[in-house]
Amino acid sequence: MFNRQLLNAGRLIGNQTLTQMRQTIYRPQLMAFMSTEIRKAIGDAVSSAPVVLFMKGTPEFPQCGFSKATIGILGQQGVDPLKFAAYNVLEDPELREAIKEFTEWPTIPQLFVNNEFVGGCDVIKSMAKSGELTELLEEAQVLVPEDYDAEEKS
Amino acid sequence: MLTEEDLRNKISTTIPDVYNVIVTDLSYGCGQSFDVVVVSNIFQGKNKLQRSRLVNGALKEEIQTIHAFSCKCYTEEEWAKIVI
Repeated sequence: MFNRQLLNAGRLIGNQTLTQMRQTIYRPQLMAFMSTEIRKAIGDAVSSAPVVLFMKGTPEFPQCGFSKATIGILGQQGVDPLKFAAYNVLEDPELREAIKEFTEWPTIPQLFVNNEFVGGCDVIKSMAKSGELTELLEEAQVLVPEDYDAEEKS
Repeated sequence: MLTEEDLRNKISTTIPDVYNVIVTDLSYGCGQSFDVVVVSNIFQGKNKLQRSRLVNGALKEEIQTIHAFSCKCYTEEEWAKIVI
């Protein structure tokens, strides 16, 4: 389903993870600056694709039941892989904590659509059940076009 | 260590107008993984994100210490349709 390899947190800031970045330029007097910097890095990650998921593990190998369920739902909904990016918080402890602060949401996974925080696994599950999620994704134009298969065959 | 009782009390005292709270410890008493259902009319007119935020806010310290937390929020009317 999501076989595109744009899935690691390394994309956050060039080829550096947040942790690496912190190690390079960490200085106590820069603490306030750093947190702004991390906030910006997360903002960049959030806007790196129309649909962005912060999860444990990767879409191919989710390392948590909730992340796995969320990926499954996004797949069922038909989210276009080209419009999707996932970040593995297990690769980056800094990201794992920072994302929780960023959204003021205590758990992972966390889903963003067009820069907007949608929710965690329970919210997404229940939105999928009620049809709200399909509505949201359709409106955001992030689903695979319906004639996609036909085009591929021709 | 957290128990079902702890979470139930905290939710009942923090969330207004609570009609029902069901807390299930999914970690067989280890206090690491909880499934929570909250029924209150305070959720009326709020979307799922806003509802969850209320509960997350009430259990802020608790959620930080545990491994997994799942939460469903219903109004009394929605709850009545689920429980027949």
